[in-house]
Amino acid sequence: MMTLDAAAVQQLMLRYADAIDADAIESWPDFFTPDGEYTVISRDSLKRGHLIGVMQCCGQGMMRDRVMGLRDANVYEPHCYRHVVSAPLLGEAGAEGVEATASFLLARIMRAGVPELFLSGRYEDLVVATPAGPRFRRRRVVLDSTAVDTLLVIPV
Amino acid sequence: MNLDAYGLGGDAFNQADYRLYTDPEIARQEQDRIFEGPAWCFVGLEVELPKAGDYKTSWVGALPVILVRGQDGELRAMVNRCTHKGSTIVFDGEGCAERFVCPYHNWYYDLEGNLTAVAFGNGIKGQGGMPAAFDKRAHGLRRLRVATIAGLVFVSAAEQGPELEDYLGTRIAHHIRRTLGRGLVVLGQYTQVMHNNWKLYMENTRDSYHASLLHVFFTTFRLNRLDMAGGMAVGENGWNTLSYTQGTQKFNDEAYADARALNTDIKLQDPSLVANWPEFEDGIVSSITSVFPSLIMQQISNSLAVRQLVPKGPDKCELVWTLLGTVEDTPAQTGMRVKQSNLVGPAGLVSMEDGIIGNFVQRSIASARGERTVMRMGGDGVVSQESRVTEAGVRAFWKAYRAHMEPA
Ligand code: FES
Ligand SMILES: [Fe+2]
Repeated sequence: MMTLDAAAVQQLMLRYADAIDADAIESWPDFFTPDGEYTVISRDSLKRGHLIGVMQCCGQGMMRDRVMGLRDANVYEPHCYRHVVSAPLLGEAGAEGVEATASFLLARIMRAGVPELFLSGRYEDLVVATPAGPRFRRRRVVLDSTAVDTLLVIPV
Repeated sequence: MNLDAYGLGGDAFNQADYRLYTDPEIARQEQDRIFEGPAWCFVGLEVELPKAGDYKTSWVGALPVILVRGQDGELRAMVNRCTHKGSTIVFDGEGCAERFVCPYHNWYYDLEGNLTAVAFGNGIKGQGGMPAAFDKRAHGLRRLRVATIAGLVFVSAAEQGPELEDYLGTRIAHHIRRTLGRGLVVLGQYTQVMHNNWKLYMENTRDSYHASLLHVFFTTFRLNRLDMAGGMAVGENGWNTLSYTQGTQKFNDEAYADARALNTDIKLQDPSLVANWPEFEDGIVSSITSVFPSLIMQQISNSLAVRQLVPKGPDKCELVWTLLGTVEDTPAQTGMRVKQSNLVGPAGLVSMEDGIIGNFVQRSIASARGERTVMRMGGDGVVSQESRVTEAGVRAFWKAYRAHMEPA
């Protein structure tokens, strides 16, 4: 099993962003452990202790249901993302894994539109080593703003 | 103003000129006659202001307001605009204060909006200062009437108008109490920015016709379909609506034969997304209450929320979502509310389309000159119906609209 140094954590973060930007969204749940948690919540809500943000998935099953919705059920205009993710800051390495954070800027590009800054914020992750490589046990996307423009369908 | 020319004459509310959604002059008149008229506008929740001195800022249409709980425990609302030179007084959104101080030249207001002091009002060393005739009592903040129901706070900018209860209608008021009349807990809050006229969203929340056609996630997983028992209730004055679904499900795929392809094989990999418990004795499993012009109350299974609609010019609006639970919820029930919240909001598996559908309309009507909508599903009336395949609720919106824009 590989060790979880900063380089390994950063590779996981970059592959995650690259997969989403490349529209390989089917692979999105695979970046998590089977019981992985994914939430998108504003920093304001976190400060207030809210339990609900704009998205909360517990486990790969809920993530796959989101992918299915995005591909087969939900109605929205075609668009893609471009992530810019900072180098990670590593926190405590505990028995569970290593905590890591990184800042991101996310542009949303409608088919014929100019790229627009859609979201900014910080990933707050718990990364664990698995036989298949590093995976997110928890990925909390902390949005800088409480507002979301129009709709959020592709995971951040 | 005369709405005949816009298709809203007589007793019919089954058509509306597209210019009503695009004309800046119409938007200005709406501010005067609706938002600052006798309508009751939703501005927040009592649970957001639990103790004396707690305040938050909000909007009544384009009018900025401060909502504050006084030392006497009473909720008051006043315009958030300094009477000196118009600066925003409270700019930090929320907090707890003993008084308000305008940042610009330090005029002081008490929690009832009275002007209590003016910085350098007596000048310095005998120089400057306000004239002796300046009367602070004539320069207090403009106050708005406040009324509450089941923890929801409404304000009305007009000095006179109907009582909130009469404004809502018996059935609507009862349903609000039935849904929220318990100790409330705020579980989440976020804002959704939409690029469409506010009326398009208000209509959408009363349009039970579109629900299972635009929002295919529900249909696909058989969570809510128009062939489930339900209906559309309209309050006595014909302004406010309650669209509801009963628990009994009777699926009828044939009724959907001419709708978009229905994939009945798709199953949720994690059905805990929609795990729920029967919360209400009336058996209503889903309901949308729409109160003209700015409140939507939602019960989708156990996901409870209120949404405040704030216009931002003719072609933009904001929707402030507050997700709710109650003090009686068990941890398991809270967990179900959290998971079900994935169905709603800007990332809602069921409702995300409502964030864009108004813009689909807005972008195509910019060039319209005299064309009108058609709102005739379920007949032309503005009455309660035992079916949700109706636009009765949308017609109720226009009835309320005309009553305010063109009072009898
Ligand atoms: S604008 Fe408020 S004190 Fe001058
Ligand atoms: Fe909708």
